[in-house]
Amino acid sequence: MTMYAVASRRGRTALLAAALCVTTLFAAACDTLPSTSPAQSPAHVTPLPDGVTTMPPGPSGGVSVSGCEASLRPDGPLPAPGRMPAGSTMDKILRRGYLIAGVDEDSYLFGYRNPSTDPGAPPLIGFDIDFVREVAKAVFGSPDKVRYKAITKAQRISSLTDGTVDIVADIMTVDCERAEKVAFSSDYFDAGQRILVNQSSPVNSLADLAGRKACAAAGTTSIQTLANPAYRVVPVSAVNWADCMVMLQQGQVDAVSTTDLILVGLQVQDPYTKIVGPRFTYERHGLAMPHGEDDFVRFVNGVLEKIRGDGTWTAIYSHWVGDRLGPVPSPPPPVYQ
Amino acid sequence: MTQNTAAAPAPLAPPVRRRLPTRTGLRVGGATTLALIALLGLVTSVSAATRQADLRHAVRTAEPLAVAAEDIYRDLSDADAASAETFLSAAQAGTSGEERYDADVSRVSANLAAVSADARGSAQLRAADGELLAGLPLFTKLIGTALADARQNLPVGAAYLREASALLRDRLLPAAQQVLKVESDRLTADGKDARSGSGLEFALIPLALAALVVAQLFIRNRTRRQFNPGLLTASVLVLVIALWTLAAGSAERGAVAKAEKRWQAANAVIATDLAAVQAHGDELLGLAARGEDVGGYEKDFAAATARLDALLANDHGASADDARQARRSWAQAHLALLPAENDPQPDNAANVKALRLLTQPVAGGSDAAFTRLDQDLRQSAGTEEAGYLADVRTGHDDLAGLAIASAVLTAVALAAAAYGTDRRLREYR
Repeated sequence: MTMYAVASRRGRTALLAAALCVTTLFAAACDTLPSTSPAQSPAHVTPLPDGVTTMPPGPSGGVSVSGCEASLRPDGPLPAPGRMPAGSTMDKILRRGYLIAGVDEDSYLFGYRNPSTDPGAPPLIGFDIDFVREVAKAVFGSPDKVRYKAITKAQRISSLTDGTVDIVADIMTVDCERAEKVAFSSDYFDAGQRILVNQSSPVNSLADLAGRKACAAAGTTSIQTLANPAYRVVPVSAVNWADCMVMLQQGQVDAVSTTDLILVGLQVQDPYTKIVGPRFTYERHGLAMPHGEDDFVRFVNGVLEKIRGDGTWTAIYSHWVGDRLGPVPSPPPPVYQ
Repeated sequence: MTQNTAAAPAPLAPPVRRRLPTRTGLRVGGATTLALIALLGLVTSVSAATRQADLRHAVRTAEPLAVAAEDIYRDLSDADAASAETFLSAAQAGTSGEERYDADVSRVSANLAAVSADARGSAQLRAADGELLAGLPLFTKLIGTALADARQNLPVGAAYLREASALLRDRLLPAAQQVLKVESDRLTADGKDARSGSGLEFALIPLALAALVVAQLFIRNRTRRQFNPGLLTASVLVLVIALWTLAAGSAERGAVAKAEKRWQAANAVIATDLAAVQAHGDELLGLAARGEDVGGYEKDFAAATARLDALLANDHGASADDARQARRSWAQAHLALLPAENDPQPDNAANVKALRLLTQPVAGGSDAAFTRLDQDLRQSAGTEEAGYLADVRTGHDDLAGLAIASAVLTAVALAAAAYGTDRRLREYR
């Protein structure tokens, strides 16, 4: 064992340094230069929202959104509010005292949290919420008899099949695959897929998107459409629309693409974005209910018939969407089996 | 060897003992004794000085940096929770979230500056430090965007908040963990250095004493003098150095070992506190991200509280009982939040109530229970850390004067021994 083993690392280094300095003629040599090169700045990487994936173009691409839109015809005039036919699904809901609706909580203008801190205010507001309130009004005579359950895109079908909610109002496109699992009302609004880009973007149409990144939420018809190899788009799947918006603002995708009504909800959050190009899909949207409750589907279709006719539909559309996509359209005509 | 065995077995003749000339004996014995005394003095002095230097380094540099690293980790976790709190209450005044968030971020910056200043020695530390320095502005930028959106009630703000939280959890906290590990290892190394390195002293003490005894016996045999005052004085001085070194060394090792135990206790409490801070963040982010909860904040909350409960069960600190009680009321308070999250809601009442319980210091609320738990744990950690510093200082003071005293005593002992042997040697000239 040497004495140096006793001395600590620092002691040894100091001794060596002192020895060097003593044996060096030039005092300047004792000023040591840092051995490391100047700090290399780490690559600047803006983080991505959690759960983002870039998808390879799907083999099938696109979904069948027509041919399954025919819903059940209403059963004559609506029963008076508060007096539902005995044994019907509506009667069950009436006896319970409230309608349970599965809705989105983060889709601006469609279903989003009410900023009001008034405990008596509805927890959620938006286009979809207003339709749910119309259904409640027809059952109870009061639009407030609704309990809202916030659901994710993935829960839209499961929450109906497991009986958690009576009805889903969550910007749901009617497609044949979904129609096998849940029953849809008649069309309560139609829309088509378009493109949201930054104001300065050169993209003006779907063709311009070839080779560029476009974002859509996972589990939506929009992402399946983007994956169509014919469009040659690089589809990026995010957890929800707000995440797509974040990526557009951070410059991580070139566009967000989904139905124009949802795009309006994103566009109004950032005036430096614009919706471009013509619709390249045509999508009917339906309120979804479980299979096996035909009476309820016919009832809801009756409610939709009524509000199409009495100006309520136009009032709801004007309030939430207005003329942001051009003049307020007339309500979509129902298609029955 | 083979030659020896081949030779005829000679009768065991008494070995021819050539008597060592007294003068040579005196010279060799004196020189050996002097060398051993000098070496013992040198080793004792250097060892005491370096161990004191290690302890000074622990108190002045390593401990503050280890605490800074702990604070970076904790403040980042707390910034995660505080930003979610601010986001949730963007429309309401009177919450402490924004203040806490600002304080967290500025403390992280200050502590990062301290860590950066001493980061040259370790590539691992430099890399982690660089990650934090680059990541912190990204985090604050995302939170700033989220808050600006929240003030205008734009739902996209929640997405920025989630992204910021993911950045913090996936990149910044692991880097902070690295920094903490390096700084903690450095502190542990100081303690280890300060406790070790006494082997040579233990070997030299008996050697030097033995050399003195042999030298004195030799002189007594060869001359008619019973005692050699010089060597006797040197023996007494070496004995003093030996006893001092042994006593001070063992006291210092005891103090440092005690300090290390306190440091481990502090670490355990801090781990508990971090679990609590994380659970609080999960709770707030869960409310902020409700309906879009893809990260499973409720699941994260369950995991963090399970960890917290396990750690709390082993906490025997002064405020452990109060902490456990606070944790129980937190568990109760959390149950009150679940309806807003899971049950269909007819109106805003459950949301408003959940928000109040989570962001305001009301009795029976999560925020109040967490704050109490956090304060208990931080107080315990503070006590343990102060205890650590006190114990290290005790260890440092135990060695006080040893280095200089040992050098001075050695010099006197050398002079005395040299004088003693020289006097006898002169008689042979």
